[in-house]
Amino acid sequence: MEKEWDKITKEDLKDMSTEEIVDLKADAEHLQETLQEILELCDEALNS
Amino acid sequence: MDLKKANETYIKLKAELEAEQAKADKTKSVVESYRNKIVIQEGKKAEAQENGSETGVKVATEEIKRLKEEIKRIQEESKEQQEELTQKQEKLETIINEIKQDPQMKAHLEKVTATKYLRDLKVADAEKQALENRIEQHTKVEKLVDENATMRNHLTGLMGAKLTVKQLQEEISKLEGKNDPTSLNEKTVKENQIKEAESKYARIKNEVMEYIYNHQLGIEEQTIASIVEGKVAVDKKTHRIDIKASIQNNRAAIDKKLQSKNRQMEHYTRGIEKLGYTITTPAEEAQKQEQVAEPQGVASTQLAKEPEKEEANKESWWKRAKDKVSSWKWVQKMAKFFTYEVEEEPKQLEEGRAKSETKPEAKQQESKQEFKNSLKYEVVQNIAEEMYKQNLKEAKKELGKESKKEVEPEEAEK
Repeated sequence: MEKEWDKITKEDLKDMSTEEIVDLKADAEHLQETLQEILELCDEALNS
Repeated sequence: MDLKKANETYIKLKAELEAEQAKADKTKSVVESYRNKIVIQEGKKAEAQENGSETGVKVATEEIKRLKEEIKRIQEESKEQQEELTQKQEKLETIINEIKQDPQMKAHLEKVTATKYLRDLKVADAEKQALENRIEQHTKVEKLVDENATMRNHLTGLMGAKLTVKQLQEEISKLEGKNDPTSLNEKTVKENQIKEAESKYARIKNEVMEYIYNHQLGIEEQTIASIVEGKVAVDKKTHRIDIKASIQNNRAAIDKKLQSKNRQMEHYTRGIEKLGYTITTPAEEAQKQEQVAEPQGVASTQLAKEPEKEEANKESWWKRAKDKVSSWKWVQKMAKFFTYEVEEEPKQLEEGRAKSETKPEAKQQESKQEFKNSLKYEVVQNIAEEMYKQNLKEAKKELGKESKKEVEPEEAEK
């Protein structure tokens, strides 16, 4: 199933308020941190 | 602008990120559990090896292999997800950069930054005045010791008393923890000596302050304290305290701080100028209006926009609006961040748009308020902070180069 993020354009994002963009940015950063933690855990488990 | 659509898009994007976050949190727990299971299986394997159970070793080894393969799969998936997420973040970053480069946003951020510099300049000016006051005070004390031998001796005595107390305290600290009778006795003796020195200090200080008060010398008690507690200069021949040199050393240290403060103020001033603003005093403003006013210090200054730059900004604003009619909605949205009048919309864009019932004055007020609120948003604050630092860095660099150029011809003459 195609995700919303795949079809989104910059113009769509432009219509959002700064607050909303910041909100999404913060969510994405949090997710990025979690993914990084998962990768580190994987490395740790595989190299044990 | 289709606000409904924008809102729906935002909700969908946020929901996707939240779903991915929930999934990632779950995955993290799974990996943690697999990692713990591996540790348990390794324990079992070691135990089986000790017991000589080949089957036990084989079962544990296979389980470890299976768990590690699962982890590898999760690792690959997470890497892919991370790459996709990076693309999403890049999209957001692009938008943020566009906000940053928008002429109207830039113009307003410049105003915000210049205002911050002016505020810092006023703080620095107050600090500068305090330093100048301290220098003036030191000059008065220096004059006093030059002209009055008793006061010179008194100030030397104060400095000596302070030194004695400091020295005795250091000696006592070395005796801490020693409980033998000799050490305890020595400690008591030194404590009494400290009391004597402190009493001497208080007595002489009162005499000095009384003299200063009676002769209306305008020297503050804290100046005396800072001198006697400051760096002590010792005469190389007599090995005695040189009170005049001590005062001069103290003043030299303040002079250094003053020079640094002056440089800091130059940086702020240049920072303001680089943003296309000038600092005007009420006197200058009054002069413009052919009114009489006394000149005042930095504390009462205000910012004035250089007309050329404002005009240039306005031009780019209209150029953008005219050149890219389709982007008007975006431009209008960004204009809400500023104090500019959004009502100045080009006529051709008014067609097909519903007329607002809000009065122009109320609209302008609302626009101003909205911009103020926008500063609360992290992104705008970050951009403003970045502009503050970058511009100040450039101002310092420019002033550094200029002062180097000024020094070089003089050196050439030597």
